[in-house]
Amino acid sequence: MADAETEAKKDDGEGEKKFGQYPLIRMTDLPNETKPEIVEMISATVERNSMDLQNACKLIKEHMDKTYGSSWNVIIGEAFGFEVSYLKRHLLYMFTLGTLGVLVWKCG
Amino acid sequence: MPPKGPKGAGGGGGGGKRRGKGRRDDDEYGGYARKEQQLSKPPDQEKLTETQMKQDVQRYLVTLDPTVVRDRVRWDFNERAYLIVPYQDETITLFHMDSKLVHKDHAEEFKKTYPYPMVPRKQAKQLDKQLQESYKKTEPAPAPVTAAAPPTTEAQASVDAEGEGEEKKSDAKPEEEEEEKEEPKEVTRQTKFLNQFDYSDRSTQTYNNPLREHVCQTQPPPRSNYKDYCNAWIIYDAYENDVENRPKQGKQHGGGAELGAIGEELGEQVAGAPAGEDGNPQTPEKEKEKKEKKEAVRKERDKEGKIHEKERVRMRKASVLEGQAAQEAALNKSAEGLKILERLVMQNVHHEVLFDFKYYEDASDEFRETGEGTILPLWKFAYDRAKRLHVTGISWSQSEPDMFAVSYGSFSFTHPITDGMVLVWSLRNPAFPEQIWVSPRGCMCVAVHPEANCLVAVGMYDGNVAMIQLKPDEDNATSSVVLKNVHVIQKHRSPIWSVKWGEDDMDGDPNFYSCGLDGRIIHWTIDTSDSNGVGGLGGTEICILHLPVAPVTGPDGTSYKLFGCARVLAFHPKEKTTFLVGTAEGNIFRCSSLYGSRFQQIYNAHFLPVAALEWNYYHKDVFISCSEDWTIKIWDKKDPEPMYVFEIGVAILDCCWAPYSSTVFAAVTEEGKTLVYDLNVNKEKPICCQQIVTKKKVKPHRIQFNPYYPILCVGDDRGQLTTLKLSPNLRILPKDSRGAPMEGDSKITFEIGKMAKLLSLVRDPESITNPKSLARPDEKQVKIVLSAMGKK
Repeated sequence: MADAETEAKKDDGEGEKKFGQYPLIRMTDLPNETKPEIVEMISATVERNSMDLQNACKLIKEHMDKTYGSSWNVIIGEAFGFEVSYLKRHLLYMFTLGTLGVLVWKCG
Repeated sequence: MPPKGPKGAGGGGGGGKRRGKGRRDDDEYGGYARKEQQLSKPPDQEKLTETQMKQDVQRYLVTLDPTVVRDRVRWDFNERAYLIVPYQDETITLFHMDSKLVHKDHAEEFKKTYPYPMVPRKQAKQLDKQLQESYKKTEPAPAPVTAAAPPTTEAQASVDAEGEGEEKKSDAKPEEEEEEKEEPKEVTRQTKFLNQFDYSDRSTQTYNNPLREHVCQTQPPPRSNYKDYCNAWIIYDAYENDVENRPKQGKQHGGGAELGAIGEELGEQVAGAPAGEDGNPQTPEKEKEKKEKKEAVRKERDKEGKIHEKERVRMRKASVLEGQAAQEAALNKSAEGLKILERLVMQNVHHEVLFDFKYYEDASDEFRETGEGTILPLWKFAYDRAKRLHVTGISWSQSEPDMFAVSYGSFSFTHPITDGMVLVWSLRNPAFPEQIWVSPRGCMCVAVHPEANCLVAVGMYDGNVAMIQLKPDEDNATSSVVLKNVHVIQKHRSPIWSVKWGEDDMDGDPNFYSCGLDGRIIHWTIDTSDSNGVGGLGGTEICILHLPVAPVTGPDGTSYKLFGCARVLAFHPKEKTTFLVGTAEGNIFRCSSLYGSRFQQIYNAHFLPVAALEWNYYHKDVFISCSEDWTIKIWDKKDPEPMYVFEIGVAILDCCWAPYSSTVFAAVTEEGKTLVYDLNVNKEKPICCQQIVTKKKVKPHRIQFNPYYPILCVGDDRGQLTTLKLSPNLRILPKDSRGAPMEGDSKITFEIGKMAKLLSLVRDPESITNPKSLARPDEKQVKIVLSAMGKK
């Protein structure tokens, strides 16, 4: 876990901003080519729909399904625990907006 | 029956209005305006409701003759019963024709049964016309028609006589129609007509491969599980960690993974790069600033921009360092090429000298009767930082014929120059030394290891020794491994005058000996048991030179044994344990490294310090010594008196044997002259005496022969080295009976013989042996002679 953490920190490509203002990847399995675009898309969608997270989830899920194949699952929340089975190279767990955690994975 | 029909007879209701004929009849009667007739119903007419009146009643017209009796019976006598007489139809068929007209609504249904294509009437007529024309064009046109016709007639032979003609026609018509239908497709009469006689259907079914099921399932893409929590504190911690780790990473990323630590070093080492020098002091400042910023409140937006910029600046600086490092790396790679390039340039610049070195032979030597020779100055080696230093030692490398190490220091003890250096030169590059090793103290002597020519032993002014390992591909000697003596006690306490390599010991480690003014000879080996792990040189004293003088009483009454101040050290080339030490008092001690307290022999050689001492390369008993007391002496080790003495009249500063002959040696005088003697040619006078350096200004201190080339190297007190080429007379090589130069063992024996002969001449001038005889004088005989002569 700690390894994933430190690895994740290096992955962050954004500039240094104040707390929580930038998306921070906690754990990811995504290939390096697609990771930044996905992270950007997710953070933009969440920011836009910060009032209606359900809609944000829906948009993210539909976008991912369209672009990367079917059956993505999206969870956005402030406090949750989870255990998921995911297809390898198709998992992203990141924090955004200071309080939100976004979990996106594909399975099936 | 009146045509009108009874109005009441259930007819079409309506009344008279509907019957148009009635109307007209009325009008024919002269306009009799008929008023609207009312229905006059007979009283017994059935009363019907409106709906019933409006009902349609169907009436059929049939051809049945109502008067015909149908159920007529007749007595049959056979049956004895009445039998019904079958009704005979009274109709007579006058004309019968199969009609081709089909109600257009039923056309579709009819088409199914009718096998021939149907064409609308108008089109049929057009097609007919076309057909007629085509008939006229082509001959066989009518044939098929006629051909078709007879079969039809034949076919129809059995048909009803009445319908014959019509059937023929009817058959012909479909043919025509078929032909017409065919027309639009192609005018030619080649096509086959689809009629029931000509056309036959034949169908086959190809073999269809049986269907088979094949199921395959790929490996599902790999999956794994992941579980975690998402909480406010987890998020907060993650962000905090990220922010903390960020600056370290920034620095690392900027410097490059492998250059992170080296980057700052490079900043120091790379002298000329301004960014490197600036980088070092600035980066710590920047780090401090960063920390301050971190501690402050981070939530302002303008801070964000600044941090961005700082990072960018750091990245840029790091990239500059990186660039420098890359440049360095590139330079190092091309270093070899550059070196070769440099040498080539030198070769071109000094090409005349090079040619002289290689090919020039002084032709005038042949004409010199006295066998004199000349020495030709070749290159001059000078290093600007060594200009003010004296050349204190020259050592040619035994394995590399063009390499030699020179130590620079100072001989003037009244004004000592504190620093010194060791330079390794190559004949190929007279402009710049191959290796530079700077020493904070003056270097007094240098020796290149005979086998491993990357090892150089240096003795220094303060009594320290160092062993340098020269790396072949790096110019900066800080990268070369230097071992220095670490011990404080086990070392010389005074300047070291000579270092000489010894044989590799049992472990194969190199070791050397040094002698210093304190009269000790110390044997140095690599001491790996050092505390700091680097390893140094550990020395063991093997010999103390006690003067053969009675102990002197000191000021407080204790008696001291006087030590000789060793000046030169010379190891026997064959017997590795025997060595000679020349002292500042002018004595020469012959010692053995095996036992240190006693020496084998003392020679009272000179009155002034012995300047140089060297064993003969061939004859194992002969050595040469020279001193500032104007003499050069050649000794036989057995004899306490020298064999040959040469009074030069000037202080001799250095002398050495030639490696190619047992009877040739060279010496440098204080005046700046170089003398070359060949005892075989002339026992009294030098065969060459030449001024090398300017008189009175420069003093040559050292002279050494190159082991391979006929070259001398003379070092003077201006830090300059002069290489000189020996003319042929000076290097007469022995020739065997065939005239070819002698090599190998035969040469050695010849040389030995030469020397021996010379020695014997000295010992016993009367008994002149045949010069051609190579036999050594009898030992016993010599001794007898000597004893007879008595010691001088």
